[in-house]
Amino acid sequence: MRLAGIFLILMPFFAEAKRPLQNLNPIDQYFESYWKAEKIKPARLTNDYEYLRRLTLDLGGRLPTPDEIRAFRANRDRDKRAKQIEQLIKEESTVQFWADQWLRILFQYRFSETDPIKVYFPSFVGWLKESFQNDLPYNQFVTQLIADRGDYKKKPATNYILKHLTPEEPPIELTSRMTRVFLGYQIQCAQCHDHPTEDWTQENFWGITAFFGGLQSKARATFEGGVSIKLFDRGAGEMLIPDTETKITPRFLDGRAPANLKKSGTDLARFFLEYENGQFARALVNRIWAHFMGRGFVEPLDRFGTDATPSHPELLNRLTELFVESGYSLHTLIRTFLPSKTYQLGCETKRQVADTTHARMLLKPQNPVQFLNTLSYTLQLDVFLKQNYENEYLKNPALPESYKNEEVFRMFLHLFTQGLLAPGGRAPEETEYAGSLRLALRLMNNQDLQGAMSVYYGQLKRIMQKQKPAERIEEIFLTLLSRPPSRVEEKRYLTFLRKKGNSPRAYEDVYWTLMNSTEFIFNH
Amino acid sequence: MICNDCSRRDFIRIALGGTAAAGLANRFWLPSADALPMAAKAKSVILLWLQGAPSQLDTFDPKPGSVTGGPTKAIDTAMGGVQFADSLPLLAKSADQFSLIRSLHSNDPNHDSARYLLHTGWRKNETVDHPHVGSLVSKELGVRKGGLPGCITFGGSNESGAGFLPYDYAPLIIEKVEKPLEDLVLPKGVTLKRLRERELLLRAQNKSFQKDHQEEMVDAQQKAYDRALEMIRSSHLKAFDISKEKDRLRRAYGETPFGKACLMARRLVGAGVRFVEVTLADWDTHEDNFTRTSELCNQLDPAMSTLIEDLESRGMLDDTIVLCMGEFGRTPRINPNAGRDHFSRAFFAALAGGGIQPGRVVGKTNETGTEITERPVSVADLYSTLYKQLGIDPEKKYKSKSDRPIQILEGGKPIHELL
Repeated sequence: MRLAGIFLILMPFFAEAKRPLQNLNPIDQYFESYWKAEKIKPARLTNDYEYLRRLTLDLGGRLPTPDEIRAFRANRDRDKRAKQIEQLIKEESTVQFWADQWLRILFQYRFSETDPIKVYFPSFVGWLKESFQNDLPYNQFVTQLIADRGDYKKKPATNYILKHLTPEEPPIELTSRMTRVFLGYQIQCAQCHDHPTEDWTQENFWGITAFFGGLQSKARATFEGGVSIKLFDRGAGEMLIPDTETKITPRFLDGRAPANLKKSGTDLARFFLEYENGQFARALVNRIWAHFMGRGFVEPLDRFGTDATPSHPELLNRLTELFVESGYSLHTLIRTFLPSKTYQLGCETKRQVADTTHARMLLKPQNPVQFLNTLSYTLQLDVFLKQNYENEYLKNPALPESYKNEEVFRMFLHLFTQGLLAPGGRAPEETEYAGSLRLALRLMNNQDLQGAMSVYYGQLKRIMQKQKPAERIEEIFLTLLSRPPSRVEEKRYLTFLRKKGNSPRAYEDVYWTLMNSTEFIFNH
Repeated sequence: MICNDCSRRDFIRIALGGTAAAGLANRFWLPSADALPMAAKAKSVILLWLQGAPSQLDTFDPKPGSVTGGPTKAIDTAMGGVQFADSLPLLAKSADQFSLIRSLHSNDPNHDSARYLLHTGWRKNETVDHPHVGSLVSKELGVRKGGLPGCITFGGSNESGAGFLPYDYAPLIIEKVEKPLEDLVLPKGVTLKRLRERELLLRAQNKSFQKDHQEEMVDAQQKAYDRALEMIRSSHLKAFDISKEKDRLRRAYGETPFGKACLMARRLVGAGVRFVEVTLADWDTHEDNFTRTSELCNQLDPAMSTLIEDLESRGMLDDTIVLCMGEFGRTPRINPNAGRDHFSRAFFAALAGGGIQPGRVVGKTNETGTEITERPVSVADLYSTLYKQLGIDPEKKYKSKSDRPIQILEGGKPIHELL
């Protein structure tokens, strides 16, 4: 039965938009009747160029290359869209992208320069990569993050808790983050007072925090001259709510207490997974839906359990069931969402419909990880940053060994693009930027980035090997906008080039123009 | 719309001739124009941000001779009966031009969250993203058209940005004081003429995408480019150029990145920027506190004292607030590495200008600096004072990104001793 379900999901029904098909995807089944009932006409289907760009950014975290675009376009296979998903999901860069995503989600989009002292990035990122690659069941993923104890290299999931441990106070951030990320609930207001409008009490907040009361990290020198850190549990116990006389013992939101205080992590993980009939699965489905569709059923992602009702509760439940039946498989969700017709709709705002109808794809900003990959590809930003920061981090003799690896370096790269995208601000969730003055100034004017747009470097150097102006224009378009120019555009740029005597500088102007264009910045 | 109130006020000011009349004018306008701040004394702020949390005991609240005092010596100041550390001789001499809070406190001894608290007036939580105070001040008081952004920070912290305000109010961060115009001036080989050609291509390119995607994010993106192009061509960019200033003045500020940025800050405020933040980093002295703090004071002392005097001599101090502070203070206890650790139970802030009464001290700590003994001041009190002087109504409500109503400030009372 389950196999059959997955088989049906994978059926390639949208290779050609024109072909009338019986649509068996649960998402489409739902929306087709919803749109009909609401008398909404959905947007047209994307063409191949739009689809490939969107898919490669959403699933692979990067732009498609001109070669990929041409091959995809030329491919006559009716299943090519579904097959592209299968190909992408296996790629090394896709695995890296999802590890990056999880790192950002688990650390709540905030890194600190001191993180590599507490966290061993190679093992943690390595584990995140393996989890995606092997489609580690999500319930096990969560359990390991909450309950694993031991050496941070041998038990990589421990790095999550280690990141939040401080010698001074219990890791209160962990309480709010675990409930936000794993359950989609916000209980942190209850840290200081009973929540005014929701059900959370201070006891709820500190009851979870008390589970962490016995956690400690212990560093020791290794024979190889490095450091090893171990997470262990002295046993959770009684604690006082700060500034009050209230004593509190480990207690989950539903009042359950751990059976064995020294192994309370295992119980805590179980409480999370069992809470409200598998709320953790619903929260994950909502998160992944928001990632691909540009808006969660519940928005913001952590507003579950409030007065906010999901935009489509029935579909959310259906998808959650499917997720649970699949054995908490993230890949199954991806394979359900991405081939759906709903995912493949165009994103123009020509017809005014509410965002919640999903009768068009919502315009999405690139998140910092996607944007890092985009700039690394189009401007070789990674090379540039490495030249600039290598001595500061990777080769800095003053830093401990745990800093000198590619994963830590990548974290700094994330910080770099995050700073560009949301100037001086954090990106609370994935869709939180557009219109950064700092980014505009940098892309327009920065001397080093200008160098990267030159005909003597990187992409434009490659493109200039083409002979005809029209071929070069097309190649610039494919590289940056993942589509060929329209006829009007082609004419406009050819006229410009002719006026400039086809000088190399004029090509740099064209490259500059598309790099700074609004279309380039967005995922549409 | 955003610049209406500032230009109108400037107009009134010119029409009525000078600062004395401005207060009158504001009162006159009060009933009808709620955009006009009531009784605003200040219209811009320079924040000297001592990143890393400075030791209050080795700067503005020394305890010579006590067990916690360490080797730091104290000197008399122009603030009657008050002593500073001897590494602040110039500020000691000009202490009648500013005031000091010695009893600021919070219960947050963590850098990141305290940085957020001191930059927003709010305790950090993960539900609401509050704006940087400079973004808020720009939004409330308006940004001058055709020029620079409302809030500029030199080496600003990444803790807070535009928050729930529109993105155009995000602080513009200048990373390198030595190269402040890095991304603001045209790169080699690009002339204004070539920029114009590029701009035309860009506008043509964006047209169809904008037509097909009529939404806020796309508008915001276009607005950012409009602002950027406006700035690149702005004549106000010369505010960053301190080479025009007299050598003597430049030397007085100190030929350090901090001194230079302070001088730029004065020029930027003169060019209509609402809020400038200048960071002096490295106060996190867990080791070697005494040498390091006194070295940092060698940068702070000339820059801050000259800034206040410079503003005063130009008649700008009346409507510019200078505020100097860090995340928190440092422990009275001296650790085995001759360092001091994080301490948020008593720390300082220094304020000048913008109608703040100078030469006063608010609050007191005990002989060893371990407790506040008089007049504790909360961060909200400090913010409430700041907003009062700027004519910002702390009870005005905004909407957060998730549509929750949020007041500009919660709690806190203006520090009447300073008003």
